[in-house]
Amino acid sequence: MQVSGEKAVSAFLKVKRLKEHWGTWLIAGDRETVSIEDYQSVIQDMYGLRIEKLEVIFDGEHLRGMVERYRDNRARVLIWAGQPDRWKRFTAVKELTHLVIDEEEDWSVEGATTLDRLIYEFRVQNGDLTTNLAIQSEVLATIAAIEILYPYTWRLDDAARRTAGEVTTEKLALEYNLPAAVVFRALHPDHLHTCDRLWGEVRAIEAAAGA
Amino acid sequence: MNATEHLASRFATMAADEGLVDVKFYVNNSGEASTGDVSREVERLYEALERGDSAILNFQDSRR
Repeated sequence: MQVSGEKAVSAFLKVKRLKEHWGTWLIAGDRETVSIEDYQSVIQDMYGLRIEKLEVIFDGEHLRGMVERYRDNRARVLIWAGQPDRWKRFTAVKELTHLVIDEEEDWSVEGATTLDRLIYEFRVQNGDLTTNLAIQSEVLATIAAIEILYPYTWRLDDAARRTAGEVTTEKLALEYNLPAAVVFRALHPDHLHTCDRLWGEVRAIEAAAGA
Repeated sequence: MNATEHLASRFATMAADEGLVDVKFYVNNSGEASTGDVSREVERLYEALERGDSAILNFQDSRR
């Protein structure tokens, strides 16, 4: 499954701007677990949003969380309480990230249609460039959330350490307080290659702009 | 009205009455779920909110 390169680069540019605003653009070797609360504060500051996060107790299985956006710049992030804490963290960041990367063209109140497109597309998985904005939004929010919680430069080091047998996926998941499945995806060679290209395009854009 | 139609109606009401402009979902195991299944879960989430079965989520990890 592919997403629009232009949208992906835009998402990565926004991640970089967020981190610059945050003031925690970390140097290699200076690694602290990312603060979800500070991430929310930065989004509120930069985008003029008022965000509420709630964990909700319900009989769930498939729905990790969701985010609502309102015309008056309110937003509500709703997280399934029945999942492990590391998944609550990742889900919260992913849903918060929608508030950053989604443009108005990505907005839709037709939630039932969005669900239908998400589920149908995941079943088809034909590898074609999708014009399904719901799917693109989900993929990009997930990729961007990984960049927030587990920056690319850290991952390069860790991928090498893991290849050398110095660390396992599970150990890294503990270290960064992430689900092991997210760490696995973040360190996958294809994912690293895609992120390498995207960060390269971000650098090229900034160089052209004289940043 | 099935679960999906009921959910569509809920969001239409939220848009009209509360100014909802966007809703996004994080669905686990999408390949195993049906739209009806997930729609029912979303409805259960909203019913839980209406009952008050929720709490502010603060990860208590701010460094500011």
